[in-house]
Amino acid sequence: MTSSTRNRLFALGALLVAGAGLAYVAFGNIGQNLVFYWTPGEMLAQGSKAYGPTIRLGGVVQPGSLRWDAAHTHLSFRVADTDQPGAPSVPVLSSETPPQMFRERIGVVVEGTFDRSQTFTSSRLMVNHSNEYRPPKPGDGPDKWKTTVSAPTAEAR
Amino acid sequence: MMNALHSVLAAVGEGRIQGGWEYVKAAYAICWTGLALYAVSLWARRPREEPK
Amino acid sequence: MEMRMRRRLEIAAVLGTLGIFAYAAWTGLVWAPPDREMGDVQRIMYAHVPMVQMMLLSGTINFVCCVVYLFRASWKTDALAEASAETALVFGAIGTTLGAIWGRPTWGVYWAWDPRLTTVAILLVAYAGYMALRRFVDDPERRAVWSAVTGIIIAVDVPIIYFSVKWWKSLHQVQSTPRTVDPQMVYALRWNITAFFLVLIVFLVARYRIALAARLRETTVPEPAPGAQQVVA
Repeated sequence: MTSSTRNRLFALGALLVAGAGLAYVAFGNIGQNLVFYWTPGEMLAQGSKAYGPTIRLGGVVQPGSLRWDAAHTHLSFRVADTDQPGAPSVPVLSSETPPQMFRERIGVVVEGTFDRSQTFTSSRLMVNHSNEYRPPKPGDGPDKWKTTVSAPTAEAR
Repeated sequence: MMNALHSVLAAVGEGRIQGGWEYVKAAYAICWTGLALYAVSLWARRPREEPK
Repeated sequence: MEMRMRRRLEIAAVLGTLGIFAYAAWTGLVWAPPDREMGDVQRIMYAHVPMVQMMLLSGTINFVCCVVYLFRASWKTDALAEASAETALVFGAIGTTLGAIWGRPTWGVYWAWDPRLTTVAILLVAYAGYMALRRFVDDPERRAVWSAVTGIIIAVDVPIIYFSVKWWKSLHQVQSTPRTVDPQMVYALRWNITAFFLVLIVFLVARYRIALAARLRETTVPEPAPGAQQVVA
């Protein structure tokens, strides 16, 4: 066998392995085994299996649920599957100052534990940003955009 | 200092980043320095005429 | 005469690239408006996005070179494969660092093992391994074949990185489109993508010449000087 025939066989073999690997990742159920976070609905469906271990919970900060006690850096809010009123949601407690992007209706991922009291205690709070980039609204002064909360972007992921 | 902290704590929930130029400066400094260093390394490795 | 002309054109190309780079940086850092929510921190996008795109482009070039080499062996293809793997590593490492700096004020963390960040980390480690492999194999022919096979396998990660944010739940947002980005920001981003693309081309050409010169040095048998004694190691 000449070395060029051998090289072509190597190429076909490597392409085959690469294609199979890509197909496995794309169409296999790898996503179900490698989850970065659970949504509240998924976590609640686990029942008592979710109690105890450190897990990540991701969703939207439910409108109207945010309570912030600046004096004691005590934060509580509900994480919901969507920002619709009836969506499954879980109450979250955190004692850290959240990132400045944090607000109602924004996507968040919290790391912590869930227990029998049906409360999620967060030890790490991360905020999702959407893929939208917009300038301050026309008419907003150079400083106003820093303080005014406009209608938040709908898609928080 | 105390005032700055106070305003940060009071602003929780507004969903806006205030300031933050230090992050922008750090990012661009790393980007430009990194690319410049790589350019220098390419220059240093440039092929030279073989000594005859 | 011919040589001097070529040299001048090259210098002009590098200066032009620097000029476009400076203009692009100005559009991103000064001219474009701040983001409604992220403020000025969003300006990191104009460096982060092009850097990571050039990493993916370098990876794609490397993949094409690896396949072409195995079908039609040539030192030129091998040299370009070596060059593109290195630029993928450089642009990827810097671009990911910029992303981490952007993540701190936005997400609240520099790093999280979410699918996008994890797959990029895998690509960087893989190309570092690829470059190490090239260094450890002394026979140029064997090195070219082995690294071509390795490069094809590594390239699987390139589409996975691109689709990771669409396939799986991640902290990283999905790709923006001109519809989700303000026109002024799109303008600044396009100039920056152009500028970083030109920088990548300059780097690739320079690195390609280094690799090709090394290949030719390795593969040409040095003629013993007349009268010199053959040294046996």
